[in-house]
Amino acid sequence: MPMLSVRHLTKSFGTQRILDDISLEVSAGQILALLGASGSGKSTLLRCIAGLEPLDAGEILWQDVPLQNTPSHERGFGLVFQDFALFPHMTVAENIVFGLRMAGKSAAEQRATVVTLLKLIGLAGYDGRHVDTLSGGQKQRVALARSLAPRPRLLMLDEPLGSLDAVLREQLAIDIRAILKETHTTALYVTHDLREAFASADAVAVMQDGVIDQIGTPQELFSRPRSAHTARLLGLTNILPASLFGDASQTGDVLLHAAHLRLAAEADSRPLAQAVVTRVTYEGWRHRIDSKLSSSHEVTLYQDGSKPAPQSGEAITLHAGPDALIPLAPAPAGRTTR
Amino acid sequence: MGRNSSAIRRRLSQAAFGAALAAPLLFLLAFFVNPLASIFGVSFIRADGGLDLSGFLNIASSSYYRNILAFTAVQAVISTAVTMAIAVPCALVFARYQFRGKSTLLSLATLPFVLPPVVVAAAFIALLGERGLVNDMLLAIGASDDALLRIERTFGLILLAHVFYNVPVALRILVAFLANQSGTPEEAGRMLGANRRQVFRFISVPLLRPALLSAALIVFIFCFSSFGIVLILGGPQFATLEVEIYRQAAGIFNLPLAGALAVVQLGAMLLAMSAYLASTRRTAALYSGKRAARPIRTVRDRIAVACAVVLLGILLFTPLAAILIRAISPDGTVTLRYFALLAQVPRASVLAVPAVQTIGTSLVIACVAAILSVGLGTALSLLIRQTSGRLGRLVDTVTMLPLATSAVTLGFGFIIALSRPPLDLRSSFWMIPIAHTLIGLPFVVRSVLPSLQSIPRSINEAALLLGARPAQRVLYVDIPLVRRALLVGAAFAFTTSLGEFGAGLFLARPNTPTISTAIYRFLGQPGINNYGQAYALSAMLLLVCLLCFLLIERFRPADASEL
Repeated sequence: MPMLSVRHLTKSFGTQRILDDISLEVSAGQILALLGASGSGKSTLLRCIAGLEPLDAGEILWQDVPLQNTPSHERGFGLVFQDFALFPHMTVAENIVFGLRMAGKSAAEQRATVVTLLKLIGLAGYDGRHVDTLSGGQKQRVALARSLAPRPRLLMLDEPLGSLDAVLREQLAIDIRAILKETHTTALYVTHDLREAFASADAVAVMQDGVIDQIGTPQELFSRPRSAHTARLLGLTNILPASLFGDASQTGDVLLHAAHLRLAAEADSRPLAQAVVTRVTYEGWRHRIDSKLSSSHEVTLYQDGSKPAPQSGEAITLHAGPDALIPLAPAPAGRTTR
Repeated sequence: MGRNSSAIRRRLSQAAFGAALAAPLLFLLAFFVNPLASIFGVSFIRADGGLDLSGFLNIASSSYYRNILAFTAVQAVISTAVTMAIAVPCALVFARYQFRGKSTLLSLATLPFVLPPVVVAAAFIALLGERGLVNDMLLAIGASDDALLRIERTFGLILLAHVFYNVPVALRILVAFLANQSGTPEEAGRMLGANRRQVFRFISVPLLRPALLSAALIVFIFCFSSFGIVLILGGPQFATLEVEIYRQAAGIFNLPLAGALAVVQLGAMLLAMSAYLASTRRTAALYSGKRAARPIRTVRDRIAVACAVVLLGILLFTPLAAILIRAISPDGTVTLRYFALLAQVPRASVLAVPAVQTIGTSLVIACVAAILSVGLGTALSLLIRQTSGRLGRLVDTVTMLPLATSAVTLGFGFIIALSRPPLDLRSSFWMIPIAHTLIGLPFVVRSVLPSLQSIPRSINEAALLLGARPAQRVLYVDIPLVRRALLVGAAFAFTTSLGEFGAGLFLARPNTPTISTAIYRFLGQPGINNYGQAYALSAMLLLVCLLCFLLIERFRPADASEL
């Protein structure tokens, strides 16, 4: 049974539609990432679920109970903010127990929670520290602990690593996932960063222009992106007209999935097209090979970095594995007016 | 059952929270809108309910009242011009150079703002009066065998006191503006081929103009509504609108005329105040970044800084030094006799109680006013933050209105509005504390509201999502985060109340005069006993205000706006 259900949620600011007929479900203990570029509406969706923004239409339910008339502070949801929003006048421990204090929990319980959570986030002994003295990564972890302390039914994280160094993010996303799993927390994780989403989530919902384009596990998304937009968001190039491969009357686009393109024939592959290498870039683990078809469309593929790569100007044959050609759906019928 | 009762408790606490937020609006309605409405009532409506414009016709047709209007405006214009002539060069020097003691001098320059008008008036009499320090010195060095300086009861002394009060105000506004000019527009002008003079004329001066206007307007407002200074230093032949309202209302009980004058005064203030607020918005929009002041290098730099420091030093500190010296030596010999006299009721005293009692009275009033101002001001600030858009701006403006309403008008309004049922407070202790609360309220809101608004929205949302009810959020997050601003607001409200003169003069009960009214009465009577006690009381009031001032400066956030 799903814990959180969002049904046909619609939200506009003025004349601009931010969320358009959003539906999704999160089951117990699941971590769902909302992945999208800035302005795709993912943060607004989070704020609607938190009760910080009123809905225009649709419903939000927890275990099939509508939440519309429950104010934010009674929903039992937690939210980790991008700027952490730690209380600057309180110590680390005071920040962490704030939710328990509001719930009238005993001092002993507060104390025990601080100890457990500080250990969990790797900041044991930091109780009395003033939050101003913490580094960005430490603040982020204290913010996470503060949200976890009252044992929220649902934890939402709004770009929780957005203000940290890119280098740290992937590791911290893995850490957050470990903490959420250890505490059996049901979570919604908003991010614009693909690696963060894949590292933290069980499933990913891709948002674009106020609609959800696709929901699936990272593997499902990566192997079968539904639209050109999602494919690009996942870092996949080689989006070509479908008419190039097969029936010339076909409309729409097709993705040539680089993971399934080869330079030499293999047992499960078939020759797909002739191309000329335009550039070879050594990337360490792999070679990136840019090539051009006779139709002058560009195709990029990769080859193991330890093997020899073709030369620029060389003629090659592209071989396609069984899942290399993926038909793409047109852009979602959201608020796109372009 | 348990669930039900907790729901009821929640509902109740919500209702209490709402009531707490609504309280200041009721207070403003009863003690601000109501008195003002009464003033409009007596100035426009006859006893039988008909329209009565006789007060206004009187003002328009009589050269006496036209002269008062003219004097009010002209003295304000002259005071503003002289103030700006001193403040602008000093501000340029302060903004350009870095020198030792600069920040101390700048913060000391706020001191006059918290000084009671009676103390300032007494200080100028102590310094420049016929028997003042300067004349004593001239006599002592034999420059003359009679009092040389005869400016008591002339416009000159009024002007000097106005300049004393307002140079610091203009200085702080201008320095704050200049320190936030990055200098890049000037550099861009140079790169586009403008020479030094062209840069000054086409870039620097136009950039400074809104700040000049805004400083000049606030100085004009203060001088236009000057009451205590003119009443005490000017003597019977000078009257601003404020003084005339007081004389008409409290002297000869011509309420329709006093009402009409108050309406004119109110209209002028509202006009000037809205112009001022518009100019501050324009000024703030021109902030372009910090510029570091440069150290003193050449002899010219040194001379410029020395002139500014000496000029400000003389202007700010000689009157204050004079009052302290005169308090222990009113006639040349050092004595504490007049402090001792404060504890007694000498024969033929102008007061019916020992003067020292007035200190107690004023301290109690100031405490009550500070507590009420802080409570109501905090609630109002929360309300303004909560209500967005047009309603919020309306409440904000209404809160600032007492600032544009002079204390005399307020006192007058109280007398006519609150001396009849349902609110008959005529002989009650509460009249003055309530009036002072209204006067202190804008200071508290101006201090607390920016501080509240600077709390990131996410912090409040975090509290909400951690289960804090709105009232808990205010208690555990908002209030602790703005506590410095609260303290500053409280100190301002306290100090303002302690030295407040105009409303107190209207509302003080005969047996419990405030410290300001006591000083005023002592100054109004001849005789060394009276002057001696006036100086002694003024010195004590000055020291208390100095303490409050230090408290304010200690806790005022560094980036707080000027005013």
